[in-house]
Amino acid sequence: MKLQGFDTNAAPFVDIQDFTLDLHWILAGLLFLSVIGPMLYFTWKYRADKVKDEEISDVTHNTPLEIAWTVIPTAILMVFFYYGYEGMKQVRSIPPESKSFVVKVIGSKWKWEYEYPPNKAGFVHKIGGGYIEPVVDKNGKVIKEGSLGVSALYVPENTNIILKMTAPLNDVIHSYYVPAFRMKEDVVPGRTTKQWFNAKRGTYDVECAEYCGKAHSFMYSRIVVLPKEEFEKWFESKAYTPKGEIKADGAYLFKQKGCVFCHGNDGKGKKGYGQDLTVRMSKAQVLHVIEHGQHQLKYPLGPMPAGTAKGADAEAIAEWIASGAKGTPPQAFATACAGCHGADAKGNGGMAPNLTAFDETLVKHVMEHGKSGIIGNMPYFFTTDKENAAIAKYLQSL
Amino acid sequence: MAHEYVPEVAIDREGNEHLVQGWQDDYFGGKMGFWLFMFTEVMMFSAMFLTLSYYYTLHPQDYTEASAHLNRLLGGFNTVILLISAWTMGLGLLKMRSGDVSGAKKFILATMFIAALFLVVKGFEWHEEYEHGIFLGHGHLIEEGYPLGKKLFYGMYFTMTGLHGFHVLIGIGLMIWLLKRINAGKVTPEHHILHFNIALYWDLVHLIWVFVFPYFYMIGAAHGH
Amino acid sequence: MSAKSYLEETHTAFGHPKSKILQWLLTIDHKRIGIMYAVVMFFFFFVAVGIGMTMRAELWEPGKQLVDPHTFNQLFTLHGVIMIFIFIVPGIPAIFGNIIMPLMIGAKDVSFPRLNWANFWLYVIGCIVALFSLWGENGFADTGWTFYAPYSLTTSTNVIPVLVAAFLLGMSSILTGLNFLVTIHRLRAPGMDFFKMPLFVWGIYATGWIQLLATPVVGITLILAMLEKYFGIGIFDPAKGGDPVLFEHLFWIYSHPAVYLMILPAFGVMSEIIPTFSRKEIFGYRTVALSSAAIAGIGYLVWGHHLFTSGMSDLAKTIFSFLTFFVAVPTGIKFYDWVATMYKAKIVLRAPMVWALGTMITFVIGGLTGVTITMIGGDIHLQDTYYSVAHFHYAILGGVVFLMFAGMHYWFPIITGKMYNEKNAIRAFALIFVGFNLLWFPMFIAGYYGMPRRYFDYLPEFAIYHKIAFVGGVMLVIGLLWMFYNLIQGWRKGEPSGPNPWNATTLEWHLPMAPAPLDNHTKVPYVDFRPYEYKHGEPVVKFDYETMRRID
Repeated sequence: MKLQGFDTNAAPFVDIQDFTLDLHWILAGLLFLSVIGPMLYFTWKYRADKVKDEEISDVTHNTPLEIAWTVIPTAILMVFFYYGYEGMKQVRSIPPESKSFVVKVIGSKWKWEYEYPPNKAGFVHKIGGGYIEPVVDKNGKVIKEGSLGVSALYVPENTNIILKMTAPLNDVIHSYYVPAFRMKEDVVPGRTTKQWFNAKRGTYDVECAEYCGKAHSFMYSRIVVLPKEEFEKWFESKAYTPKGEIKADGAYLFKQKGCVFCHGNDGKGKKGYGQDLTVRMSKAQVLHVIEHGQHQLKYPLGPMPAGTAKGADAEAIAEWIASGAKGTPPQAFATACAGCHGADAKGNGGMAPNLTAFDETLVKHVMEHGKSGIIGNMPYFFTTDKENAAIAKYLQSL
Repeated sequence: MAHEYVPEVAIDREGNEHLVQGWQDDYFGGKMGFWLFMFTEVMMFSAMFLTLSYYYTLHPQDYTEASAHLNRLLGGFNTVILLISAWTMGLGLLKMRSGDVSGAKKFILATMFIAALFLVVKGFEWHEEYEHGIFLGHGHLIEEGYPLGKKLFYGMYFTMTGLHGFHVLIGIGLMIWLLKRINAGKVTPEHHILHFNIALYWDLVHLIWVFVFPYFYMIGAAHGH
Repeated sequence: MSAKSYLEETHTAFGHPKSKILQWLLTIDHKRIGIMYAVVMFFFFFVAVGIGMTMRAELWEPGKQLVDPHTFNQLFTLHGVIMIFIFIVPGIPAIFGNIIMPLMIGAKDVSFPRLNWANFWLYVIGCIVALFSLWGENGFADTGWTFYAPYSLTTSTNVIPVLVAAFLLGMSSILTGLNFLVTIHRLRAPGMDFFKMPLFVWGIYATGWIQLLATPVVGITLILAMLEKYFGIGIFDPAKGGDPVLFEHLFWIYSHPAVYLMILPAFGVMSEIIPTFSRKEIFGYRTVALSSAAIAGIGYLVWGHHLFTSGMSDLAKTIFSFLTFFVAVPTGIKFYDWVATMYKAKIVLRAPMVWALGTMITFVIGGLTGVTITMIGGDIHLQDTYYSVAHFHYAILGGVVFLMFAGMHYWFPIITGKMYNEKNAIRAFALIFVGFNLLWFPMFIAGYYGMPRRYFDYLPEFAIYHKIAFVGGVMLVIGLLWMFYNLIQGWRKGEPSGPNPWNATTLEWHLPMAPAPLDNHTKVPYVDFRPYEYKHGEPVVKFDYETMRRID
């Protein structure tokens, strides 16, 4: 299993890097066999029950052989050295800045931010950021907003891109690693380090490869390589990100930061941390809501009262909703629920929550207000409408 | 469970005898062990000198200015007396070897006295710097905007002179122990490896200072007041 | 002739305690000290293995399984600190260097037995200090065992106790190395010149120099980091004018030679086992001996290969890369010499030999994958990924620790006077070997595909590798428990082994009885023979154990 774009020869030095590694693994395999092959063969050939004591040789030197196994491996190692050096030369031969597009990269705990050169209108694009946990007081009131962030670097295809990377002085060392490009370089506070690439169209994951603390493993970003015209159009505008980009990538947003942490990478939830999002509501959840009512979601129809159904009726409703609201609803649903949620449980035109899928409105409500459920509290997140829509679309696809 | 050394010989096939070296009473081994220990001390201080030199290349101006501020008179005085103490220590060892135990004790006492004097002078120096608001975790060294090179210089100054002073202090302790062993008759002209090793240690202590002094006090001498 | 073994009577640092426990705690006998090191070390080893498995379980799937990210970071720090500073750096020298090395050179003890005793307790204090911070207010350090600045300077966890502990453990290691160097120089039996020493002694000798000259650098670096944290001098903190990359340099100036410090005595163990179980003199004695010295020497000059992506100049990278390749040459020569020893030999596949041969496979993989990341280009991609994680586990666990286990099986009769169950030993080996490869081989692949190390969570593409690794980990742990159970049972109930069950040639096998007597050889022999002389599968040199004179 590989990351997106890993095998697409995305950057100019992927060739030499992969060639070096392949060559190395072949030659190293031969060296391995040159030791282990004879070792296994001798173990079998000279096993104790086959050898008579007087057959044991007392050879302890053989100059030609000793020279051979010193010189040949040394020669092979020099081949490795040469190709390693070649690889470095290509990765580190940073083209002149005048002929390249220079983007400033700031790595800090725990996000990647990008600052572009000013466009024709003098506007400077600053994008990026990572997941920021909202600060909530004891009563669940949000003191400081959290953010899901949008962390991607948008660049044009077939252009030399130079990354000038640094970290704030009071931060720690990070490392900007793009597996698909086979390149990384540390981002050191107080220093400016550089990397470059020239990539094909596509989306490539960026990881932080130098340990930097609690959310080290959440410090992802990605590089989105766009056709030149599309990039230019965005670059000369003041839009935050290129158009349509976010909408297409709810899966990424979901994976990117906040959601996966509790709901798991596949959305199936983590026991005790987040609900299974592949199912709209579990039976237990439905029963809980029926028993206690629901006042958190701020739909036009207002809070849902407690105790709309009881006993076997409630069980039947819960059973039906948890199974995805397929087929004919139980009798009890029509009397107790359909009034607000609609006969098909789809939320009656947005007046009350859709019980069959996570629609945009619901995602927006939950993101904006957080929610407490049977597992615990889900915090409040700052997201744009576009992002909510993207996430909702993704959830429906699960 | 006695563990006394029983002299032993190994006999080869021709019947020749070869003396066996035991771990007990191994004068040369004791000396060698201590020399090896000195190597580690040298490596330790080298790493600090390396650090110090590296930052000198980054902040040469701050370094010379900070150095100019140090008290060369007290530092120089300390250098001289420490060299004298190395001399008295050496004389003590010579006395011991020639069999003059009470003479050796006098010289050890003299060395201890000078070592203590060194620490007192060092204390005055540090106090003076403290008064000027320069001390680890105090005054200028934690002040925003104070030149970074100076902070580094003084930080390393306190670290290294502090560590050196700690070595002097240990030296005094070792010499007290040595005197007790001499009085108890455990260190004698025939059996003076402890004395030898402590003299060796003391040589290292003054040797380190011989490098510390020019590096900290003299690089800014031309800008001195 | 003394009829009592070192397990029945002992010399103590002071006094003549009657209590058995005090006799152990105060012993200055090198064999008992070695055993006490082993007990403490393996206790911590299993703690760290448990932590390792906890991390593997956490990584079973993406997302959170057992612990939160902060705890995970503390876990891998604890795992690294224990495995490196408490287990593997003292490792073979502290156990077999103590127990076996003096026996091999015909000495009665190490040069400074009281220092040896004090060192052991310094080591124990170091261990306690390291763990002390676990119960502190801010919890155990979460910096990784490398303590990289500025993270270690800014984290709120208890870094300082760990630094102090690493310093104390380093101090103990320096003094142990010093003790061994003097012992090897001064206490060899008459007639035994350097080229008549067994190769394990050569390994310990080369290691001694590394301990002595490299450890103080990391010691002082850790002290500087402590002062930095307390007083904010700015030595490594960029916010105060310092350079964090300097810390990396100073740290690796020690910590890279430290890996040779781990592996050289292990190679020594291999060089003992291969000729003994091939019933044949070792091939190319001098090259094997001198290659240890060469590895130790070159090992000092290659630390920069840990910094290929740290913003070091390209020229420096090129030089460090070039030099690093030359560590591989003497290492390769050793392996070819070992294999050549097996040519036209009589291979006796007993447990120590099986362990040694298995280690050849794992260590050659570990070594060659190290060559991958010596290539600068390759390293730019693979640095700080699972590839390097797999590489050093193959080299250190699959090299050093496996050979430590081999040594445990090999020298078991001298230490205990008993024999373990051979069949179970081999079965446990097989389980460990398979589990080990399942655990770490997938990480090479995950690393190449871009799985960074020290990740609490990962992208779902990498899940499969983590799952295989977990299964391998479970097998490995079961195998380890089985092996230790077998050895303990062997000590308790095993058959008496006799002093030389393997027909080995070196001096430690020429003791009058097993377990070894308190004062080692009855008399010190005169050594006018090479260490591994065999003729037609029988040791050439024979002794009369009363007089220790040759009777062949």
